[in-house]
Amino acid sequence: MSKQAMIALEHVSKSYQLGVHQRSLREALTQLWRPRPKPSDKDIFWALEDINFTVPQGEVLGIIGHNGAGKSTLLKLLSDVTYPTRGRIHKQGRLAALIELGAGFHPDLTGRENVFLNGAILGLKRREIQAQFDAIVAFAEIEKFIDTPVKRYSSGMYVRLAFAVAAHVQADVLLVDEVLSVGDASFQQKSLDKMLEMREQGATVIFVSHNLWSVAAFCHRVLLLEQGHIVAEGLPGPIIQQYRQQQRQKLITRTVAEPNQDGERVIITDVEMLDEAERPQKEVDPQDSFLIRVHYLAAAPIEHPIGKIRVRRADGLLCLELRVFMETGITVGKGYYQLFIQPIQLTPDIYTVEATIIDRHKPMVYAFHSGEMFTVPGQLADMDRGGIFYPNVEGSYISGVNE
Amino acid sequence: MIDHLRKLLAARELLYTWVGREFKVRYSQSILGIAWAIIQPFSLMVIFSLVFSLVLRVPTGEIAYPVFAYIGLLAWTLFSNSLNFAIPSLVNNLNLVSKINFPREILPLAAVLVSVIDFAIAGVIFLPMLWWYQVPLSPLILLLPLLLLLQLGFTFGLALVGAAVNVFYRDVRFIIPLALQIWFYLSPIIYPAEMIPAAWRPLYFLNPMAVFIDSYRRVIFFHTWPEWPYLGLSLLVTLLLTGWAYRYFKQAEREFADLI
Repeated sequence: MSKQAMIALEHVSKSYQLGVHQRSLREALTQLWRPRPKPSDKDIFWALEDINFTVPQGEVLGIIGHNGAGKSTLLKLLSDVTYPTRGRIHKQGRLAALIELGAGFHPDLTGRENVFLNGAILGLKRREIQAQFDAIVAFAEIEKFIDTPVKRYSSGMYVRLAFAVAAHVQADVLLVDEVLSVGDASFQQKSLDKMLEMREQGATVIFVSHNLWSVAAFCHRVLLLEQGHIVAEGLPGPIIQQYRQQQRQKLITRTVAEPNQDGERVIITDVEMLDEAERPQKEVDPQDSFLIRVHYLAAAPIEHPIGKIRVRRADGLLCLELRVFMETGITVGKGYYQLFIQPIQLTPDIYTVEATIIDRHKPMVYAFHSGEMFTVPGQLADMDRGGIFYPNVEGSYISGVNE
Repeated sequence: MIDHLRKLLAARELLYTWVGREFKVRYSQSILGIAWAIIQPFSLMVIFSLVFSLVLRVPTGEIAYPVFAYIGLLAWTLFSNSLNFAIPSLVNNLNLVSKINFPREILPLAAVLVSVIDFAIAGVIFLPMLWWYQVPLSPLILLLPLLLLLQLGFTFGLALVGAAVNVFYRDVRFIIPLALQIWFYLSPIIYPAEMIPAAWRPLYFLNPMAVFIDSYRRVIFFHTWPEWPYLGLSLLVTLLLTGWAYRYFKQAEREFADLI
């Protein structure tokens, strides 16, 4: 690759000392001029161990992993908030960390004052903020309230303003943490569009998120972190798949090991998407048929279950909700329920499948699973074409007639 | 060190913005607003004047007790406000400190600078007081900015150490009010330094605040130069303290995010 590396990590490790710091003040005072004694090995927790990766210019790198895998530590290291115990981090260009939305916002100050404050914290010069001010306010859609103290804002307005400032930071490298998940669905879409626009403009981005859909939509490459190590690295699709597999495996081991634990009688272990010949299929044309099969594992029987399947468009819009009556009930062990749609007739976009097992008579949810994705390939909805329903265009026809 | 200072210089806009924020926030939603900056030292001055010039009769020579005390209270309020706001400044903004990288000394420094604004506001009524009590001035008052700068340097040094140590040990928060109370009586605020027996003065003037306040009075009221040996010592203490404090702060800063 000819592009220069904007960020390079070489054998980076970070340890934390476990336990509360109950040194006495006397010790503290002596430490003012004497170095701290080295803590013993057993009190040390390695949050990250031997991390190596480089991020070339213009790449959007996603970092995923369970809570406690080391994602936040990695972000803190990259943004110089904390320092590696071992190893080196090389950085190029101006870096902005969009980690804490609305950092430094004060409730008593007006929206305008907070924009300047937050911008300054993110490293913007006053005139840079001035130049972008109108764009920021317009993006946040709070023109009328910009001179109102932010404590009178709704929480939606607050996060919109905070995100708007963050989104207008011009930097060579952006560190982004979960900030896409703020606001309502339309604002989320707007946020994502903004991020995609930055990607188009060649920004280098490191993106940490639990929202696998936005990782898939936004990143060129993904790192999977587990217990402080990079366990996989590659294109978003396969890595996200691997991460899901792991999550599911954990869930299965837990349910099998401890059945009847807090009412968790059944778990959904997998949601398969298959074509007519029952081959796994993640892409489906509007006129193709499609089989969604939900596998479950039950630790206890359920007499009157209903299997539900919902299909949502990427922005959360509910496109389809159907129930499958499972007449024979669920018995202990494995099983599945499925839905055959022929043809699917959805407009080109990315969709997620949600599967739920509920009770027919009681308001009770036994299991829930979401996140499995499929794509309807083709041109995304634009100004001229939209909606979610995609009729069989060959069968019907569109014509203009003057009467 | 030079590198740290350069980064601080690069982040000066953040410093100004933060000072503005702290100042607005301090008086927002209070009816009297910035008048509080005057009311605080002024009401203390009135109380002390009643007690120490009418009841206890502290000798202040030809200078009326209210002006005499007010300059001491101004200087002291600047000092104690600075520390009271600077020391908890890192802990109060923990989500900033633990998530965003910026020169952290901006927080205690801003607390000191906001106190300087308060000081300037409270200082405004000092001029009519000088006129009212007919205090003649001499060109020596040109020394005041230098003395003030020295006091601020000393304050900043203490603020840096206090704020950093407070991250590691919250005990500092409890020690400060007590320490300031004692320090108040160890400084010539409500009484003239001349009341200290001559034999004790070398020890007494080891306290830089005592030297600063005594020097303010000398140049404003008595038209004499400050006592150079003591002032020189205070200058030395200030330089050493602030230099060491800054280095200690920048070294401790690397651990703030892990410990706060």
